[in-house]
Amino acid sequence: MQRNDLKRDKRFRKHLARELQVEQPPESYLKAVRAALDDLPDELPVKRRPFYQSALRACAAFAAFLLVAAVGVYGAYLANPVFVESLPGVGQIFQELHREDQEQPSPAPWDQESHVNQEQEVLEEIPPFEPQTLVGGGGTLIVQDAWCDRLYLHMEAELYLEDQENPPLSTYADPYDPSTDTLAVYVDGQQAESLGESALFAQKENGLYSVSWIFQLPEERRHGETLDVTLEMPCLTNYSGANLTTDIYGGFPVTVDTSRSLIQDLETEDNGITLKRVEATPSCITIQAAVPEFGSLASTMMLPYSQLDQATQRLGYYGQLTTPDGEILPESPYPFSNFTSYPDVPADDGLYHVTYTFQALPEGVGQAIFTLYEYSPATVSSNGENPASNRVTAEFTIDLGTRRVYASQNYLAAGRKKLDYRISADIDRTPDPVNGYICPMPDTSENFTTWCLYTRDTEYRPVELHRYENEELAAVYTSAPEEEYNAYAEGFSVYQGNQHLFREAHLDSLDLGGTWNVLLFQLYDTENSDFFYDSPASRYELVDGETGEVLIQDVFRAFCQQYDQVFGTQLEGSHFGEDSAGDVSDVEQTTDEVSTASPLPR
Amino acid sequence: MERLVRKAQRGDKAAFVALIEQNQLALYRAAKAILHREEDVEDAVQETVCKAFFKLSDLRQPKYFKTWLTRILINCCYDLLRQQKGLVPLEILPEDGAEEERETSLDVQLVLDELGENDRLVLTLFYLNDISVKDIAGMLSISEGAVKQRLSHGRKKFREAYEEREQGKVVARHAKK
Repeated sequence: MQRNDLKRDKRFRKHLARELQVEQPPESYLKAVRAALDDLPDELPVKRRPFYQSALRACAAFAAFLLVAAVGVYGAYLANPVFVESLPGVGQIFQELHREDQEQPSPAPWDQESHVNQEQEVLEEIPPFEPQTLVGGGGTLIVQDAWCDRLYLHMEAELYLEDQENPPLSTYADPYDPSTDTLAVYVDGQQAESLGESALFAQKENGLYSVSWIFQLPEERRHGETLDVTLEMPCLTNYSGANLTTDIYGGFPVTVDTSRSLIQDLETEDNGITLKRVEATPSCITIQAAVPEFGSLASTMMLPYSQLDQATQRLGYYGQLTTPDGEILPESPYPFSNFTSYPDVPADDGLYHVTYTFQALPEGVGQAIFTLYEYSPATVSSNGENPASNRVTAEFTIDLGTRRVYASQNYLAAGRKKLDYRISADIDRTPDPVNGYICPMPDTSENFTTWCLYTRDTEYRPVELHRYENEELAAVYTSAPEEEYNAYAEGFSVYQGNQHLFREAHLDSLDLGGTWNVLLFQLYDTENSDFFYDSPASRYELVDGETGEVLIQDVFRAFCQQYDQVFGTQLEGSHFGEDSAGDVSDVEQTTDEVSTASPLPR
Repeated sequence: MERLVRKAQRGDKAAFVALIEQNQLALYRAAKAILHREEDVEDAVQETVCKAFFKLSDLRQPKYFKTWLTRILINCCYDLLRQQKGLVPLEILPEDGAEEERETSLDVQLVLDELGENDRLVLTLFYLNDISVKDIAGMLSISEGAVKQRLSHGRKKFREAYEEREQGKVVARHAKK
């Protein structure tokens, strides 16, 4: 498919909305929504945390406190053993410890290999699944294959119906109506959760319907265990919503096969990032990581003002999983996970805890490389382009063959650098201003374009934004000092011109590196224009309102240059057709250059 | 939006109202792609608002509110179709006179109808409601590749029909002169 097919250009959207007749909803619709809202109670139901959860949290907090206290006292013991041994209560414990230290050789460091060997025990071979036939009142289900990888149960089945039905048939069940339940699977008497909202049956040439189901086991199982699987399928749903009686009930055994799975709790660290758990199965790969502070995305000043508030996303925790050949494994594979959640704020331990889920490795591939990046590759380009300037923050190799997870450095061969977590949060990521102005991404979240400009100069300076169409001056949007503001919009005083709205605001935040002045030009007259901010025929020029000096000849181009400088992209080249390599700001030090560089592949 | 979701999850109805008002156009567009009749659209969206109100506390990640809400809406739309027994989806049921019209008219609306509701829904969700390919795939239980294919197909068909019609207009204008 062409790359443009996934570009949401405004012109296409406008035409599409017009042709679908959905530019604006009718008044009756708005009234209906209002009526629905009015009919609702005054307060939404709130989910209360069950008592036992609170109690568990309290216990966990107390345990954490004890651990911290123990570590603190042990630290003090290492520094001054005589003092700690003399403390009342704990002193005796340390006296005992001291005696043992003298009597025994110090324990060997954590022996990864021995741990690995334990995991590497030879697993008994699991015989292939014997197809099972479950005969029901309305049809027959043949379970052709079923396998369990320790966490998930997979089934491939074919259905023969007494009466032919037009597809699609599904196990769709209304989550709000239990009477529509169509399928339930129990493992050793406990219901297994079906993944995916509905499973469609596909009709085959021979008239049978085939289906694939995945269930999450109620609990993890061990290699070689036999699961007692019971299946209940009283009915199915056809497209028109009618229930089709199948009355299929039956059971069969499935033996767990973990030979292609690697599930480990870990403390594997690289550049301050610790992998806490890896679950690699033929179903999917889930990785839990704890990431230190690398700085904020907002600090690039490339986000429009309206997004600064929401853009509290941090840097350094964007994960990507690849095969050794560089194939990117899709993230959040359906139905195993919805989305990777990147927290905005750290947990109590000061770290960002992220759980990533990726599609499983293709059959025959024994290694996966998990790389964390400074910026999300999707931020740089929605097409998945990830330029070498996007620095790595950590890299790990998950080796299913040797059943090991270790820090690695494949990124070096790709010409990438690793960003040291000890300096990252203090790096100035702002691009070079043009005559004092930084031009962030134009904001088109409304139906018109809003240009933002950030400047360190907090004094009012009269400026004008000139819009040129085919190099003819089409409009002039002026700034205005606060005392001339004449309107009120969205809770703020503004200056309302004939075709635009202007506002100036001060920003002061540590994330943004101090104080900034933001100038906002909302251009209402661009709403129904065929000239878009990035149209080759359009040009926006920033001019000094008093002297007429041109401050920025092309604001959009300045944005492209500054964006390229921050993210290492080629926006300017792609929009202006020139071979203008992005001027990537160099980080003064990366982990590969500082004295305590991250370890070589271990 | 996330802040509003968190407020609403703490019971604040005003925040919930603001969320629905922010999303009412997107809801309308998505429902219209499936249902067509204005009164059905209104019913489905009312039902969605009601379900969202009572289920919002279950939403674990506020940033996916829009996707979650759209998913509820799609379920409500299909529920409504199911309730209207005997109603056949558009791609199966040929419209009255559609064949004849196809030969004589370059109506873009007709092309959009021809696309079938699934393609229209995917086009609407992606281009008008700003939902990502990945989220659409999850929402409709289809692969990302299938979403991209539908987007590509839909956009191509739409562009061709639109350009043909615009050319037709130019030719007609010249002919008048």
